[in-house]
Amino acid sequence: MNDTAVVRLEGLTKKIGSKTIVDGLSFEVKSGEVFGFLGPNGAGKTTTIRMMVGLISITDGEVTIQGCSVKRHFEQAMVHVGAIVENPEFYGFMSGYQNLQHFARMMPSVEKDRIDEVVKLVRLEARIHDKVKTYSLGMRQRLGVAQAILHRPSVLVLDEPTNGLDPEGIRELRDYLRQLSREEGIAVIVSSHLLSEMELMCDRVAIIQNGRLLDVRSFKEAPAETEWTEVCFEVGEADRARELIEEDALIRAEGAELVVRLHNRRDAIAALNARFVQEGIPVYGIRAVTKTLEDQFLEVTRGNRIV
Amino acid sequence: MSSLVRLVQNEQMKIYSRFRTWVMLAIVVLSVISAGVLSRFVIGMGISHTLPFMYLATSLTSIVTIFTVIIAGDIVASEFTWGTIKLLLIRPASRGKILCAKYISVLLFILTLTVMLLIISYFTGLLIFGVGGAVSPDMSFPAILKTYGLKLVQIVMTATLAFMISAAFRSSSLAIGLSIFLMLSSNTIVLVLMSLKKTWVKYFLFANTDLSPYLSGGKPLLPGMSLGFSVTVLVAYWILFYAVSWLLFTKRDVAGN
Repeated sequence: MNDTAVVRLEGLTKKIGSKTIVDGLSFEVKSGEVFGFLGPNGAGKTTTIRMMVGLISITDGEVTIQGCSVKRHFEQAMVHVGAIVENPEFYGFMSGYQNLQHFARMMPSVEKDRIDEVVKLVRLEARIHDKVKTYSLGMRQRLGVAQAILHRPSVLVLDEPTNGLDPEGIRELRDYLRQLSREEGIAVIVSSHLLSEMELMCDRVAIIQNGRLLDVRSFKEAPAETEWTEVCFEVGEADRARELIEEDALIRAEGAELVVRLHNRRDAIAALNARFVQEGIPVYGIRAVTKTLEDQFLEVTRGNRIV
Repeated sequence: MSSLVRLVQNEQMKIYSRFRTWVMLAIVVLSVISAGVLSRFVIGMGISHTLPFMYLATSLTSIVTIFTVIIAGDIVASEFTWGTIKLLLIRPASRGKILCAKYISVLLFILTLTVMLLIISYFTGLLIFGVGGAVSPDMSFPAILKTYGLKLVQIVMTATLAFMISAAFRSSSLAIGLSIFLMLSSNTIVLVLMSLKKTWVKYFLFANTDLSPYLSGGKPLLPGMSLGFSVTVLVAYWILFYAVSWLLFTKRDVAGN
């Protein structure tokens, strides 16, 4: 793995009429990284991805892939890109093999050996000469991966890849993407609105809303590095317990549950527990509150929401 | 980067992998054979040579027109209806080249069907009528080829029209329906407009697609029309059709479903 940026977005903007759909997006994706693209429906995820692969024209700004501008040197840029935009749609009246042959002809230097190799990789050997219209969705998804990696791209772009897949299919795809990014150093860009899915799949996520980049978060950072931790106490007498907690430390109280912000030390939790016990307040449970991506996502997007 | 030849190869594969294409080819063959059988055994037209039969069979090019309109009207639009356009346009091949490959494939299909019609009608005629009788000079082999050439002008123009509608509206049914409607009703439209003494009728596409009056010394459809005039109008239409297809195919966004 190296740290060079494979994909670079600079002030990417899309306007349709007077409406701005994507507004000045800038970020970089490095090789060997799985990069998530997160946002509520209508945030501009699909538009951005379609601009990256040249399906939608760019109003302003620039997308470069391996240094080639998608706007000015489309053909050179696309040599490095493999993509599945939404569910992969194939020519149902042709066999899986013919479909791969079709896309192989559109790219420089994809030999017959490579087609066979990819077919084996996605485990479609048994059905590859059957017509695609007889394939299940999971098989189509695998064929979709096959056509995307046929020409050994350095970037893989997937728009809502888990749409319509069953849990097993999702898991398979996830393992597959991980393998590609780790072993072949491919940069993977995935868009989704499924938070839990993204959390499992990605190294970093960009959160966008209303076409603007709100934040880029990394999952590689160890959670213990933060200075504060949130702990939830389940107590018997919530009102009396509240008086024992310093004013600014209490985050919220929900019935018998008090969420308290404490220094990230184990003895801080023990000390508070001891105080409760001393005062005769029964403590039924103590647990650390970990922030899921969903919490983080809501935290970032809340307040900016336009209803 | 990817060469035009390989893109044309792809389009050919897509055309000939479909069952309906083979049905079309079969219909052309069967219609020639049944025309031969009908004129020999049912109507008894007194044909005694394969060449007059081949001349008769040139009228079957209208079937070729209908089939090529179906192929041309479908070739761009179907990629949108299938959703395959999203996999097709993200390759190292410019949209202009992909469109060009599709147009060349339509032309190849026209050529395939007409050559097939020519050959099948020759052999059908040979089997049913032989080569015994005399042949009038206006039914000679060069005359037949000339007729095919003139028919090709009509077929190519109608197919290009369908191709443009296909690229513009991304709808096969509209492209096929509208082109066939215009093709069938154009004669009536031209006649009605002529009877209303509209001089601009001569600029109408289908008033110019039949070039045979000029070559056989007949009267042109309207005064002031000549071979040069009609060819100019046809070339202008062709450029317009292809330019519109090109602009709409290469510039428009592929969004949503």
